[in-house]
Amino acid sequence: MSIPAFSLEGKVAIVTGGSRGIGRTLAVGFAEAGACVALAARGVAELKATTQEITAQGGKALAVPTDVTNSTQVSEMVERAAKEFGRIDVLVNCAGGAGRTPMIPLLDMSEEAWDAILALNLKGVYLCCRAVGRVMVEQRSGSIINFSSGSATRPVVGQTHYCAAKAGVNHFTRVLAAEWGRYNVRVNAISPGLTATRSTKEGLGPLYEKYAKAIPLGRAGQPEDMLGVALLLASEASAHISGVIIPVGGGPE
Amino acid sequence: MSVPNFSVEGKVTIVTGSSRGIGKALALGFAEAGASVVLAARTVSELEANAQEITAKGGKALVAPTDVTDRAQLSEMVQKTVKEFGRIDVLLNVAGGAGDRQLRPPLEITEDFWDELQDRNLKSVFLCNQAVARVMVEQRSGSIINISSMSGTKPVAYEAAAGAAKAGVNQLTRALAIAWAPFNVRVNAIAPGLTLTARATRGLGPELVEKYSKDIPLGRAAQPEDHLGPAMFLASDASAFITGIIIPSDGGPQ
Repeated sequence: MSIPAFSLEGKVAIVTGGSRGIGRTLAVGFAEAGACVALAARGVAELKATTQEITAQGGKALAVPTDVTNSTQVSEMVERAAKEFGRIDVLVNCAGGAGRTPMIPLLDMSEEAWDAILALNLKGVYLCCRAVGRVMVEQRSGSIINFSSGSATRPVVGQTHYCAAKAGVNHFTRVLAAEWGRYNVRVNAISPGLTATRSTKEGLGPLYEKYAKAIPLGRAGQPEDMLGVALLLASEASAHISGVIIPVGGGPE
Repeated sequence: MSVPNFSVEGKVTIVTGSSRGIGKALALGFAEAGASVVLAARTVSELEANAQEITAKGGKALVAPTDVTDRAQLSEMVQKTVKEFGRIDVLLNVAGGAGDRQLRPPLEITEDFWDELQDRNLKSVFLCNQAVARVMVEQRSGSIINISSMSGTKPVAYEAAAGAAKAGVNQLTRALAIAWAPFNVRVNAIAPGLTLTARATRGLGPELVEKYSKDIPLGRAAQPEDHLGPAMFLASDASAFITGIIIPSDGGPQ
């Protein structure tokens, strides 16, 4: 019997939202685990800094400035990654977030606010899965990891838009898993609970400490806490797992 | 930044139901990965054969014949483990199953059959968790993994009794996780789908196995070894911030 391998040696991964927060941690962690990583995000300076960090440590990384809500840019992202590395084994859809004003009572929620959150968190996932999926389906192999959130299942007052988007990501993940299983392409999601990123702390303000106190394991999550489950889902150790949503939140969801 | 530690090297691991099927595969896999494994189940001859297989490859195994529905025997299992190894790091609750694995129309379920299934699949999980957690809570460390089933969430008419028990295992897992989180004891579950153990293939028959396998998105039923990946993940430090979750290991949504 062979022990499951949690390695990504020789694999090629695209990580959207790879310039900051959880995405950055995953990109650096995947490179350390042996993967060639294409980092896609909007902030060019941060993207270049993270890419340099990876190559300075001996890893292989490519910076691909991308707005995941733009289908042309997403197509170009996939073309560039495939051209540089020859194949795509893993897609991590980490680009997302609740923005600078994460809490908006519905009656005050403009159409622009709704559209922006849905575009970034749900449509971006669809666009990236479609573009990368074409390559993976052709290869008859691949692993897609979407990022959900505790907000997908918990009623967070003031976040109807973000919660709806993340709930959408959950079911999209399951349906796509059912659709692409026949091509040996697995689709799963990670659902972080409260995580100590700069954007989360800024967005929640005083609510952050209140939520952190309620976590069973006694602390908020760190981006590093997401790396283990991401490596599980990206690697052959999860070869029979598809369509699952794994909460990483220090307690049940 | 350090790569997460998926290793179970040196972890003292009790595996119930380790005489056959999924339990045997997990016990052998953990031993090969360096864990010290305590084999707990009813059939001594099978346990001893598995222990020999482990030690022949240089691994560490201790046989602890145990009926997981018997509180006194569970207490002995725990004491024997602590006496031999000094600690308990991981508990894999695999003992259980749908009896003869035959599908049973609910009107034909006898009270005895119902009780047997609840005892073996739900009550035993509670008793095992309790017995081992007493040690883990004292240690302020430990990882418990309950093997549930797809039948705990996907309703199958003729698996009503087993399904009810497994749904109970899921909720028990979540409640215990909250209770013991302050002591750094994590409790999670894996929910396998159709797995080609001898008992499953015998109970369902080749036609049903083929029919069910066709419904699986990844195109095949599981081998027992397929569940080793999520089990090692949940047992190791790589899942240090994860507790109270159920990971389906079933080849995709059906």
